[in-house]
Amino acid sequence: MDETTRMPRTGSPFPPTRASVVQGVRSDDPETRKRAYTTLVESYWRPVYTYVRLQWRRDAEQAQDLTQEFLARVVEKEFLGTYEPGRSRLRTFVRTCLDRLVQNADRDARRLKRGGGFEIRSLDFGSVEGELSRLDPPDPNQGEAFFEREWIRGFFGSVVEELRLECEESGKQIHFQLFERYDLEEAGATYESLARDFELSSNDVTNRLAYARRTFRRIALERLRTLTGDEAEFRAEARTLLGVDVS
Amino acid sequence: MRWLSDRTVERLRAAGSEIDLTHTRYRLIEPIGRGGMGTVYLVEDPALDRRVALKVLDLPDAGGELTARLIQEARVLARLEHPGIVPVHDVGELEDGRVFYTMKFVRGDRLDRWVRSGVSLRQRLVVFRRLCEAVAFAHAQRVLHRDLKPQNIMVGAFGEVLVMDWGVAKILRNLDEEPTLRMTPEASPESLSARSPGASPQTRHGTVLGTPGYMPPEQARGESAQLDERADVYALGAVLAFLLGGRAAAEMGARSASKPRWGRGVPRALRAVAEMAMRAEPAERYRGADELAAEVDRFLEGRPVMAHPESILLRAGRFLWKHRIAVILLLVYAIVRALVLLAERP
Amino acid sequence: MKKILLAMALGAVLGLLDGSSAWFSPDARDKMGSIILWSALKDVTAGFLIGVVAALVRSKVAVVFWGLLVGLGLAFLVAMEPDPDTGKHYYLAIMLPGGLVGLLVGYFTARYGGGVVRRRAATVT
Repeated sequence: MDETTRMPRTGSPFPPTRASVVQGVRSDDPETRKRAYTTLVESYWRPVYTYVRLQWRRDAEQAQDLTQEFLARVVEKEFLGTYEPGRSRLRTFVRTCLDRLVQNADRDARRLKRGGGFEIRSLDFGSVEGELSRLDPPDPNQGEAFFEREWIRGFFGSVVEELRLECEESGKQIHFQLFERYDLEEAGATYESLARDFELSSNDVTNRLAYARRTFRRIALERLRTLTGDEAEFRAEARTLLGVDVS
Repeated sequence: MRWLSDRTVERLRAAGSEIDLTHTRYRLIEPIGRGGMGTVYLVEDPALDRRVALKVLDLPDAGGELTARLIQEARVLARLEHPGIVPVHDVGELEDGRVFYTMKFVRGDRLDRWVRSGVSLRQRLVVFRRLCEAVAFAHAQRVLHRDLKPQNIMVGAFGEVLVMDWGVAKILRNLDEEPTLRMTPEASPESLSARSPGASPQTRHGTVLGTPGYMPPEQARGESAQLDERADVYALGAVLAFLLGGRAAAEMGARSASKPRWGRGVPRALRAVAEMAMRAEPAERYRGADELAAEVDRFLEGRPVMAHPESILLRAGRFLWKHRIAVILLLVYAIVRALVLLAERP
Repeated sequence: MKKILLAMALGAVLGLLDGSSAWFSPDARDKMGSIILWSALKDVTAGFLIGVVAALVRSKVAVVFWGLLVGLGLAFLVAMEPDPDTGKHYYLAIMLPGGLVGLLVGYFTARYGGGVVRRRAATVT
């Protein structure tokens, strides 16, 4: 189902239905396929690059080549053709494919030719390089956990970005700023300090923060639905990532 | 795109799972517990400047059964005004349609954690005695708990006991008067009544509710229509066994209708009390929680318990043990007197 | 009152027993009557003193300690009187059992004598 379906009650914490990328890449409609691939690339390029850099210990240039190569495969080949929802999580499947690619690249240096000329120029590897120093070196035996952690970091980062855009579009910048101060900043503001700084009543802070969190959760669940293979995986991921049961 | 630290990611995960209390008078602090039916949050009630616990279903309940059960739990709690039963303050409905109720926020330890803090046998029995009192009160109000277990019992800093989680409680007969519920503005009496048709969800015969190791055989067989006070007596026996052994009765090998496996140093009389409470046949158990409490009292006062008849020798031994200081003093006096006499002899 | 009576009764019984033990000393057999009488009187007095304190003081340890002191004190008064035949003093032989009797009366009274007497407080109804 491509159409977004809203729940009847307003403020429902449960997400509208949005098609999974797995269905998208198998669609006959080229536009739907393109959208699915774009979503996949957007969601995975950062964790893929970070994983190759730190888990596989490749230098920046090699990691960029491998990431581009991997994304080229995602776009150009029937990347999800062998993926069977229900047998493993999509994230695990992606990571396994990536491991295989890096291993093969070790054997065959020719593969480092960026997918026969394909290159996604919008990927800002430089920004990711700046973030790598903030990460603990990964345990060589915990590749799955490291990839998952980085994927979750990227996932929440993109949800926050979408929340910011949505708040700006709907004129709710203060809502986002409150969310930013209370939930994103390391120091962690209090309701009282926020009320003081924004010249709001304590109740207003509570209500606006609640709105921002509700929207954050909706966006997160919407994105999660697109990035999972099937309903069971979506529910499992919703519980793992957000601790919520989704009906 | 913004880079998020591990800590921020954790905060976002927590923020994403939080309930939305907008339009209620409560302010969320943190989740404090999760049960089969819902989650309990610590919230602040700014109107009264106090912290309370808020229990809410995890999901909007399409069938209405869980909602009805939650409302019934609140009503049962409202009816059971006793120091050993957590008091309910308020019932309401979240914006997403989920029903919640607030209750006293109990500071203390769950019984299973409390027992690990090196408490003496006497302290355990005193706490158990208070638990029996609370359950006996509920029975007097014709309410069965049906899920008594250490995880549902809180022990406060001063040894006060609070029985929690009445979600599967059974009302033995229809109450004469309907309890009046105080509603928050967003939860009108009509809306809640509509969400709990008939006010009290009855457990269908054949449905199994409870916890293995703590539920009696008749409950495990789903004979909900046959359950009476002695079902809770069985669970109390299992809790007593847990308190004596420090491990869950189920872990001790106590399946329904079988004896617990005891560790060393557990007094025989107390074993007998727990085993009598856990008899497979309800007619062979204590008739109520008050009778079980009286047995524990007898043990605490050094008197014989009904469940464990004693020989004259045993009774004499227990009498001497009970008055051991007096006996020792008399013996010392007799020995000193004898020594003095011997010393005076020419 | 209950504590005082209990302590005096205990003192009487233990005094009688204590005095009767003189029968085992052949030299004292001809004076058994007066020995028993004075022993009983001494221990009844000790019982009274212990009972009064036990009725007023909540602490069991304090009552037991007071019992020991009273027992030793009264026994000391008795032991100060030398044996008329030999002129010797029997401090240890008299004070050790005497102290123990006081201790016993103190313990039994504190343990089995019930609650302490309380001053009546204003009652709010």
